[in-house]
Amino acid sequence: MSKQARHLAAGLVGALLCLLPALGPAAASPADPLPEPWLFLPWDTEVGRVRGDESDSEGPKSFALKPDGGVLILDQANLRVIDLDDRGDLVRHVPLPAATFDDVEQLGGETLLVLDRLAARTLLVMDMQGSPLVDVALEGRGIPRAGSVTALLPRSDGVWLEVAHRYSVKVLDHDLEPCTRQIVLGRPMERGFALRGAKDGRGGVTVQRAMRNDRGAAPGITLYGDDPIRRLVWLDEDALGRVYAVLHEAVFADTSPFRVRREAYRLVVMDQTLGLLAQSESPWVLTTYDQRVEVRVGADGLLWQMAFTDDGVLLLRWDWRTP
Amino acid sequence: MRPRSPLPPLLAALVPLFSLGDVLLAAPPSEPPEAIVCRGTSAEGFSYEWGGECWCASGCAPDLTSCQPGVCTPNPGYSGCPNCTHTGTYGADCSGFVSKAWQVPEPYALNACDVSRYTASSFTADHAYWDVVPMTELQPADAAASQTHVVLIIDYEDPYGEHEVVEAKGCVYGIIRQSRSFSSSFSGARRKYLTSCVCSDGDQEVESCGDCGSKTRTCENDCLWSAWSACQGPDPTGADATCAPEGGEGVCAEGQMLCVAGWLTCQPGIPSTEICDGLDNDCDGVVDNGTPSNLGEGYPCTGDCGEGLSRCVGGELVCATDAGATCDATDPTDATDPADPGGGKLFGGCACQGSSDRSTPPLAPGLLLLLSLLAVRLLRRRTGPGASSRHQ
Repeated sequence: MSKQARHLAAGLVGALLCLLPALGPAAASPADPLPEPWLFLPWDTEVGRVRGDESDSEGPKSFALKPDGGVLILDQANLRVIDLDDRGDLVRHVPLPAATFDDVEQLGGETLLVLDRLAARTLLVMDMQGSPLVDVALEGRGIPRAGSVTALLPRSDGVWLEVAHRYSVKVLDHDLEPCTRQIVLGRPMERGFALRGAKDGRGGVTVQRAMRNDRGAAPGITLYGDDPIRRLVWLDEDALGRVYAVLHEAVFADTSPFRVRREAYRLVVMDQTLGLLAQSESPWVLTTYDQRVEVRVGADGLLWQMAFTDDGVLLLRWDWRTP
Repeated sequence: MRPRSPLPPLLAALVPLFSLGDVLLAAPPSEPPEAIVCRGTSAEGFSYEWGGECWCASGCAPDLTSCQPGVCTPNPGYSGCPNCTHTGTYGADCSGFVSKAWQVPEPYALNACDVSRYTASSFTADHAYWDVVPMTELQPADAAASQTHVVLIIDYEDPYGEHEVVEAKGCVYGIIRQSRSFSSSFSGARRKYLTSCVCSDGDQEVESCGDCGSKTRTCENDCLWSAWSACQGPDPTGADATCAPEGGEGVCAEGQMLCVAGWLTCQPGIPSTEICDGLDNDCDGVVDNGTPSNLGEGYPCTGDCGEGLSRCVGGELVCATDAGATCDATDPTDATDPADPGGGKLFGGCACQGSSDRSTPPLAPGLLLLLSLLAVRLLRRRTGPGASSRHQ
């Protein structure tokens, strides 16, 4: 599909978004932004997928945001990372050595991190041309099983891997060299902070922001939606310390086979003290195509979602920044 | 590639009503959920084989020595099965794996190949051997199935709502163990004939964690084990309590040993805003190099050397005069400012600005006016009766 066609497709989705009714009983307030479609990539011609038959289906497992406003899409089915500039135009395809990578991140727009939890069980560091720089075995202190890694978190003090959504392990130092592994409860953030999130067992999600490994009672907030929260999809903060939580709300039928009746993602923005700033909703939720990372938060405060439709991959973003 | 031979669901549904013999269509064994989880984890590392359902176990671990896993390769131009080629004897697809772990439709040996099994979509509807359950109530030994895929749940959900599973994921992955989420196209299924209760009220189990602390689980409802607690343990004390983090600078080079999530870790000092205290608060390798406003520099003041501006010297704020105004004549020590070797000399709380590169910070006019008024007020309080009278 040509560049114009891709942007046209994204524009059409945007036009449809304007016609959408309010998303649920507590839809976004008028001040909250609508999602802005950024790019659409059709299946099979521009981005790969695996359609399962007695096996799992998968689309691009992850994506990452570059500091120049561009985006990286992990197109593992085609053994590559798609490198796009800030207008969505192709910069390059970065070749991958296997089809089993399931997360991608970057550092400074110059270094690529690709995670293979399930086959090679390594974190591979490459330059943007695809030349390998460092290859780190995941399993070791703090990570007994590579498959239990739940997030790849590059920070200014090194590269961290979250384990079972409980704690994170630093595997590379700020020079991208293997290091003595440090452990931090929750997800490490910049300036010595960490975010912890957990379902509360009553349909809500508790979020805490504290100094890393703080032993005191961390300040927290419990978030509820209009429907019970099934999953905490993503938790992160931007460069200003604003906290973003994405929650999967869902209601299921009471009788077998308990099919879903209603579902959406609730996007919540909080300040450093976890005071609510804004929220919105996304009708795009996880599909039958397996996906590890659906949402990213840019340092600039833009929140991005990589959603799958019947026809392809849709990248959207929400802009809560002050004009 | 061997053809699959799933048991027709209708025939399986009739099993409880008609006896078809003990060997054919025998009900799955009565057993605790742990037995199913054990069979499931024993398949990790074997290859994905479309239509396959066999592997070898050594207890709850895979036996990859006696039984070599096969190799699955997508055919040229394809990303997965059924357009794939499998070499070797052992391997399973998703439904073959769950069928065998669940011991349905019959309790075949794990290393028995080419035996009856179900397809993934079979697990999305109620059956003689299992019930569909809500995805929100999944527990170990349950399955989660869609029309094209099925996995075995081996743990309760984690804090975010994901589950640890074992699954025959696909040709390039083989049978793997991972934490994953599910779309709403999946439904849950719970095998029947599970031993109803495995523990009694008051029972508690404790297990050691990575290298410190422990986790516990308790018996709930006089019947089933709860999920394991998070790993917790006391922090080291005494000589074991301190450590030196790798590559740490300033206060970040001074660490405290903690037991976090079951692992001993050296927690570096937390970087903070650089202030004038003789420490490298922000861990950038330089002491007292913060912004003038954070350091408290640049405020008008009066010291022994006369009027000047506050300046951070040797970890303390002193009142510094302009370049060489008074110090040359009275400085007995000729000591150099350790924080600024190229800068001024120290004397009795005075610092003489020599060739220092430090520049006086720009101050907001309002702040400058306020500080000037304060300085004047302090001066009056020290030197004239007007100040005290104004306070009376």
